[in-house]
Amino acid sequence: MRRLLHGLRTLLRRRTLEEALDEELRSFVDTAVERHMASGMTRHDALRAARMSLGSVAATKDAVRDVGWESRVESIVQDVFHAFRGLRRSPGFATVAIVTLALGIGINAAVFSIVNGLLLRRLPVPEPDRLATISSATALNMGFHGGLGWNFAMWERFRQHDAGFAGAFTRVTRQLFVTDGIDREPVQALFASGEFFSTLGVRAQLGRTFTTTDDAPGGGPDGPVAVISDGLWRRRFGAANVVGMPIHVEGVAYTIVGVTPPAFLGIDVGQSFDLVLPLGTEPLVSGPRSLLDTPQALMLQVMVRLGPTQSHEAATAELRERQTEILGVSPEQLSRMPVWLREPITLSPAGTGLADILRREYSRSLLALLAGVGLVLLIACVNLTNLVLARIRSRERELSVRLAIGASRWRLAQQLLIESCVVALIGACAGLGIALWAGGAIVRQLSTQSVPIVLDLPFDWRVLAFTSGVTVVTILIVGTAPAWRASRLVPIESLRHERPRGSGRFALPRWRSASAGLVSAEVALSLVLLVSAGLFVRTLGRLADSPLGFDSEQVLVATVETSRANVSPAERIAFFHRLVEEVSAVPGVEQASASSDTPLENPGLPALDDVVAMTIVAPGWFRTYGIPIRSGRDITSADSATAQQVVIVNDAYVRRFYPNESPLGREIRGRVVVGVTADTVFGSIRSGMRPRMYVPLAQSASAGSPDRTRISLSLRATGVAPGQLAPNVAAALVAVDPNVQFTFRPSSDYVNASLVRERFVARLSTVLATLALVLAALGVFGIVSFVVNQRRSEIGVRMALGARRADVIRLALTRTMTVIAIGFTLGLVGAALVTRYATSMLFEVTALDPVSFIAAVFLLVLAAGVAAFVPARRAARIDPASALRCE
Amino acid sequence: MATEKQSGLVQGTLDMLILKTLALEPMHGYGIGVRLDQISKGVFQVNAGSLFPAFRRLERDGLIKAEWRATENNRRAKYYALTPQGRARLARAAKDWETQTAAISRIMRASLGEI
Repeated sequence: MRRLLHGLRTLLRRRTLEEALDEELRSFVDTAVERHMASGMTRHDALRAARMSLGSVAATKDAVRDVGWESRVESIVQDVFHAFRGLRRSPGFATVAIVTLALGIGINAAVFSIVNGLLLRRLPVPEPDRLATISSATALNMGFHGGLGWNFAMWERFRQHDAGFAGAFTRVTRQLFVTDGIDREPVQALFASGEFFSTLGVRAQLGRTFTTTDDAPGGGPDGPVAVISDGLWRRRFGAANVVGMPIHVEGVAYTIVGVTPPAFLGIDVGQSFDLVLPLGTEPLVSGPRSLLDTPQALMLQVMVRLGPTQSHEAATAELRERQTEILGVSPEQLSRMPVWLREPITLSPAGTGLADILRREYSRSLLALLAGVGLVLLIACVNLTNLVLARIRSRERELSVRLAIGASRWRLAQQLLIESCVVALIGACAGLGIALWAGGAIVRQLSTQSVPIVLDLPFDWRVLAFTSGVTVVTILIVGTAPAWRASRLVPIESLRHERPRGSGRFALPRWRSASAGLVSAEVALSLVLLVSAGLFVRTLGRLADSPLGFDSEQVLVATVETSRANVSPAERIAFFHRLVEEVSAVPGVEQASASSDTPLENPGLPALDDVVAMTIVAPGWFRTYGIPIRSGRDITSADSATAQQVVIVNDAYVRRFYPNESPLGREIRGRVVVGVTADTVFGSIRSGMRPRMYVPLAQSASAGSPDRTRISLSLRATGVAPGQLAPNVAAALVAVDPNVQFTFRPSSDYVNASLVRERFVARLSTVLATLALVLAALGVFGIVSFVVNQRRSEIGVRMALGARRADVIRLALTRTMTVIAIGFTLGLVGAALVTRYATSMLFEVTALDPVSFIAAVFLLVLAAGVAAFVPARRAARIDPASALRCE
Repeated sequence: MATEKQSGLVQGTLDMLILKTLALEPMHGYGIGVRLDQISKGVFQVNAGSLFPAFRRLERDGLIKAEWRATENNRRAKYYALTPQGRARLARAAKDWETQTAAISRIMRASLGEI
């Protein structure tokens, strides 16, 4: 403590103390001189003797200063200023160093901020770690942490029983339209039970949130109320005072009672929401097909907040005990329920919110990407180390002089380390700026037009800690080598000869071999990245080129929900056919049809091997998608409900079940096979062509899907882009029944969306590989340039003695080629070891894909060759006369 | 550092010697050096480069205090004097030193039979 105070005092009274020390030393010399003179010396000799006994004044003063910790602080401050001056003196070095680091640190921080936003960040609510979702082992295995859902009756039984939770709620997301006359704005809506806000602990920034009182069937005392998000509030209402204003959701009038705070983006990470409506008002929007009245609708995921003293285990045990009671079944009935309901209830921590599909799709890609950006930073560091070493080389004399006049080695090393710190810190700050921009840009790559991904990427302590960690590692890598180098400097040697003499061999000086090793490492690392990028690009290419079996280009898909339309279940199918008829008449529509689902509509769903999928189609569906009928006939309007039940199967079905015979006329589940179509991709491109049956819409009642209210209309456009059909088709649909709900999406968008992840990985890995390639090329360029500059005079001599240009070039490149060759070998081995971890992300490409490997090697050879050849050719252009004169 | 090597001064004993010198009377820097030289009969020639950091260290730890005074030749010099803590430290250091040197000399004189 005393030392601390003393140190602070010293720092503050620097000037006076410095003067006092000077005076003390002066008085020391004077006293000594007096004594010596008293003993008979001349004044001159006395002074000399006194000075000798004092030794170096500067060194003594330094030693005195070094007594306290404050001198360390001071010398660091001095070095920081010195570093800044040094950087300003060599702007070229400063720019390259800072830009390299800013890019390296920036992309690392950007990718990490996405990892953070998607996987690590806690929901911005009080005590997020006490939140949990009700799930099951199967659901967790499939990546559904939020569970696979209950029906409304189960939720009601659950909520009525107090299980000691501090709160529990359920919610379901729905895309709806806010209507205002004929204007329809798509919004992301949450139907949530009344406990939603109280359980989460989210307060309104304006007005109030809704409670269980509002969550009554058809609305509470204030009628149907809505809480809107900050986003919708600003976008649609210009942040005006909206409390009490009406908002029409699918034609139902809700009253806005409040606005949620900007930080709250809902509990579904990656999605934002626009409004929250009480679950009790869902029947108003959905009509008779409300999920509240549909026991089959197992769609309600439940989130709970554990009580203050409640443990995870205790809550799980309690829920398991009451499982049959909540599910409303006897133990015998339980065994017949779907597996995820039958299994013991499992609580899954939900502090980071829910993002099941997004997390399942992207966590691997993001972690692979994080590894990739880590490699790029490593390459950048290696490059920078080389640069700094070269800079030290040119400062060797300065450093030697300082060492010779008494600076300590530690002091020199400290100064060099501080220079690296200054560069790294400036780079890190710029990097954070880049991360801020790049993070958003990368997330935009993930979004498609129809499925926007909204990810909050705050610069919280995790991102800052990660960035600081990365920066420290950078400093260690970049700073250590030069500091070590400086500490091994032998002043007399570097002072004696200004330039190392040629050793006969056209070799690199020994100290330089360290940086040659670094260049090898650089080449190796960038080869790994190039090979990985090659594999991902080839995967994307394979997926994009793999035949879809249908033509999506001119097709618009309209998904129509008819539950609120004025149609009885018996008339529903006729109603669908009428919709097809009406939209067929819209100008620009060449062919229209209807089906239960469309290709690539649900790419996230896992493909099941043992199940033959079935699609319900109306006549003309195959023509709409350009899918040829291989044999037999298409479905026609003659295939009515009362006619012979028929089915069409695809080639894959035939291959699997009738490998050596014609399936025509065969009977499958009471239906006669009347036709065989070509294969199409349906679930996802990766899962490929799978067996599929097509059943006529008119006969679908017998196909196990009674009263379907949702239908997909597919429209082939002619003469116009499919998207342009939308307004007229919308008008036609509303003309049939104003209560139908619908959304449009071009079929090609489904195709694109199904490849978003692959495209994302391919693009980013290409960007990273390009960066790595450029950095490696710079490294090679640097080392060859260095050799050429060092050996200028030797080259001059050789040329004067008759060496040809080709010889000079060969000489300049020989050593570099070894360096590069070592890098290649290491890189190929490294790539072979690394790429197998990416196997699950590849498609029709093996981890050791020769094309990717060869292309990567070729590119790198080209880049390294150019990088080496440019300075080598400069060597060959050296004019012998001027080179020798220089000496 | 170099001076200490030359004179074979055991590390850490310089502080003790300075304290001892000052226990006799307050003294200025040069005087302390001369006094050490005299008492040790020229064995310890302590360089200013070691003395002054030691003064600073002792002053920081509150063992000695300094004041500017006139010398016998009417020259301004910084006189160092022991503080009560310094006196206590010296007493302790002297005791430790005696115990240690006694032990060391016993070891050095030990004959085979004693071990």
